[in-house]
Amino acid sequence: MKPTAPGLYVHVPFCTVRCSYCDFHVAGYRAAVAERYVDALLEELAALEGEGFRPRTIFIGGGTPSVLPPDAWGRLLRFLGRAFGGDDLEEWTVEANPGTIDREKAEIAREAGVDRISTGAQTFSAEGLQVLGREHGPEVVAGAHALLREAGFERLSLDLIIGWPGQTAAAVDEDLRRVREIDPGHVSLYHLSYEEGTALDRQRRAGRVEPLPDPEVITLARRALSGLREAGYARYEVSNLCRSGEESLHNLNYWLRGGYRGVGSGAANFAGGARWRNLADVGAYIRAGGRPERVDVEEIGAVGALEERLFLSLRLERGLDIAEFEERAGASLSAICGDAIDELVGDGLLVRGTDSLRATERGFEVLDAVILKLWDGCDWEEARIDGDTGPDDASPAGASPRLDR
Amino acid sequence: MSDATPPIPQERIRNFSIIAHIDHGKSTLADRLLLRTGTITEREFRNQMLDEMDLEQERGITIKAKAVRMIHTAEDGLTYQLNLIDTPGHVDFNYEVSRSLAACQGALLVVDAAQGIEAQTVANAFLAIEHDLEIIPVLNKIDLPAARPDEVKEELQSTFGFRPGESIAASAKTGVGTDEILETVVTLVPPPTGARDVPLRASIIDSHYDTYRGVIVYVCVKEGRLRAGDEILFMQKQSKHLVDEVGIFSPGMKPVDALEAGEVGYIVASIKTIHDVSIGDTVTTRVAGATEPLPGFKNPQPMVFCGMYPADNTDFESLRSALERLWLNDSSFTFQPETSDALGFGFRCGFLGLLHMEITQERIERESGLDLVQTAPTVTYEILRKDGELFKIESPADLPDAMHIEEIREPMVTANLIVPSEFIGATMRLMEEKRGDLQKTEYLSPTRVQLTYEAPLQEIIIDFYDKLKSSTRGYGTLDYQFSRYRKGDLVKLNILVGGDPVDALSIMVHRSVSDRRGRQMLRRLKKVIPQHLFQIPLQAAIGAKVIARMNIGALSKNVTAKCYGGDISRKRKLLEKQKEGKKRMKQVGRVNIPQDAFMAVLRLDDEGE
Repeated sequence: MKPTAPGLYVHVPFCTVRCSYCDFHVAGYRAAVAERYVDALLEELAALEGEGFRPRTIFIGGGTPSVLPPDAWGRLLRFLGRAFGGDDLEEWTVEANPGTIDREKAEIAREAGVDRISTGAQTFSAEGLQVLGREHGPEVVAGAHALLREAGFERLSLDLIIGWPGQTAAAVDEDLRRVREIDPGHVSLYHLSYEEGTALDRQRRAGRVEPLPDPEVITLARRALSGLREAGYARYEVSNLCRSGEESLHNLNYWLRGGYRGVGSGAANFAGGARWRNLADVGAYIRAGGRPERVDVEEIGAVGALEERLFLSLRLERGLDIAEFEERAGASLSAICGDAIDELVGDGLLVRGTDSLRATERGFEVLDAVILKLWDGCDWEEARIDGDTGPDDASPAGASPRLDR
Repeated sequence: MSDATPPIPQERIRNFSIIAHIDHGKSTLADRLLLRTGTITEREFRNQMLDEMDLEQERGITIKAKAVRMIHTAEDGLTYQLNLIDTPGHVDFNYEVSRSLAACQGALLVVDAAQGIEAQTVANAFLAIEHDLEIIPVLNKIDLPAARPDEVKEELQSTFGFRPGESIAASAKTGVGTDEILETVVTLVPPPTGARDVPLRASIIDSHYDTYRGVIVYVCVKEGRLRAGDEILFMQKQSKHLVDEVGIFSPGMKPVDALEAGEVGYIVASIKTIHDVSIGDTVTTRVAGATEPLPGFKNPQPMVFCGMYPADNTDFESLRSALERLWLNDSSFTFQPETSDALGFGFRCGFLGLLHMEITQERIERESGLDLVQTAPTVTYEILRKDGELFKIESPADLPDAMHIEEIREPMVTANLIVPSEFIGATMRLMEEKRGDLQKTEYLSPTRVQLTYEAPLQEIIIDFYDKLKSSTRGYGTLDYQFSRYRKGDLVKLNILVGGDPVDALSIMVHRSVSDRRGRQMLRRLKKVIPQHLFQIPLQAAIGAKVIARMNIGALSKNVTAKCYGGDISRKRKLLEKQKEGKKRMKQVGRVNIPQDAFMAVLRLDDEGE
């Protein structure tokens, strides 16, 4: 069977402590549950392998995948390596939290074929780590990266959160200094958001933490961005920067609207014109033995596919490929949303070149509103809908973005 | 069917009403009287007490209790017919109150023994005095720990001249004083006069629309006799109807053979719309009828207008039918289509006053389920053109070009405010701000003062009650009555959002306060209009002259950083939701204005000034 979904996401929902800002599908870590969860994962993965699915990228995320005990960690990674580690595989990332990765797990990963590790540093400020509810101290991150390098990992990524309550320009500078010191190839720079139901949001409502005003967050974000650029990183997506050639192919596939399969409790899937999720329930997932219930199944439809393409591609520095979009839409971009584009260009939020439509620096700062405006201004009557709604094959599935650059 | 009770001679009929300030216990006392006379059961009494807060229920009671007949055996051993005629509790319905009072010979003036005399107590009492009614003061809620009967008696004496011994101490809640009230009604209130063997003259005191039976007309027969089968004539309307049924309320509708002079009841006569019935009109028989109508008829005119628009423009027709339904039951409310650049298609609605407007809006929203956008209430202005033409406008949008205007006249009211004396200063400052002229200061008691002002109605309908309450820690009460149109230095204040004038935000203001009003409105708008992707200039202008300006800064940050795998679906749903939200906003130029902005600008708080 021809593989239609080039990305594979594996969800490991366990954490020892939930971070105050986190609203992901996460469960408290218990070794026995984790073991049985991995059993179920292997069954679901085996089924996928049986379908003939061969991913070009694998991403194990969480939760905290690295919290798995060495045995379960080993079983999962070795299975993935054996089943999917062939020539098709171009990138294999595992998320690791600085405090939970050790030499043994690093070596297991390396041997299985993992070639990229993403670590959640978030900040190097002790105060910031406390506000964010992170377990690790500021010193642990550098140690973890050193350990991973020693184990042979060359592709390392580090997450930073910008705009936490109390963050100062000096704290941003300190984070930048540490990043330069650790020197990962890839940095994600996320704005803190106060998601409903999180501890941080409750603290905000109770007045125990005071969010930084938006203009201050933007000032800090600009400082971080320019610091990272000075250090040789270039932004390729609204919140991701890297050194040349270090893009996360797995995540790039999402922005390019490539297909992917998700394995594990709560994992999202996009294949054959539909998006769906596995039911987010660790217990049910284990009991289902790798055949989880599919929920939120959604046929995207032809218009939906074009809308998604529009909003996903604008997250990228390279923006929307106009010619390709127009070919898919069967109409000119101007006919579909020319007025909204003109307005946004006039406001300095988008740039329209001959080949692409891209967000400006300022546009990236208010990207959600830009996308909403554009989306709202679309008139799909103009489009010739040809019924092609599946994953767009200009993703890493087709031409490799690595060669693309 | 016929009335089971034996006929009661006219000299043993007592027509009376209960007048009170809102919340002083009028409806509970009415229910207590109905219970005591066996007109309702203990269980019905309890249910009504329990549900009193519910507007629907209140409305039910009002209809039912509009003119209830009670049969009561007094201490003299004789049976009396007591007709309790309800009056609307608010000044907006002043004319209806006066029509109801015209059907009575007596009134229970209910005063909360803890609160004392309030503005509506005074207004209603003077109306009753004007109608020459026998007034029986009742100190209600005497069971409350905070009751201060002696002071309130003193207020009653200094305000109306009642001697302390004349007041009845009562508690509608516990039943204390009920017998004394009934006995006093029997002994003090005179029976109605009016011959029975003369041509019919009955006064219409109210009406309501019944889906099955058409309009139910409430009448008080002044002279003659009204029977089923009579062919009747409404003397003002000049419309003729055949009476299908006459009856009384006790408290449900109960057919009787005839309504005799002095009696109160209803007529069913296949009348299709309430607009065929005018309150205050005189009913007579078509054949051998009266030649002169009863005095005092008036056509109440709406004084307060506002625009009502469906939040979603596709709901225009639904709004129209909701308004039509309401109109069936409310003859004093008017509406006609109007168009606004900002709000699209809607209606200009007229009301008797602020409360009437609020009740009506609430009812439309509740009964139709429609989401409404409402514009600033405005009064009717009289415009005298240079060419001598005099006309009224109901919307600032209808104001002619300044060059054609000789003068603009605004409606003035006489406003009575009753406040604890410690708040005189605060109240006077408020009234000064509201362009009021103090006309009279009267001490009702050493601690309570009545201030009488002449003030523009426009100032009273915007943001006044709240301010009065906050200036007097909730103790101040207000009552007002239209007095006259007065020439004023009035201007139309236009609001520009993003450089575009927003017609629905225009208001008429006095030139002396236009700067302040302009700034207040802009400050409000700044609060309610969300940040956009660009800076939005806000301006207040009179003609071409900008008198205030302010900016809403561009959105500084709006980006969801993480958007992994499954988040794509979530993100899309979020976008769709936001898009829906945007649809409910009104677009002016490039700016989306939330619907509540149109009303919010009126809450002219002085924060930040």
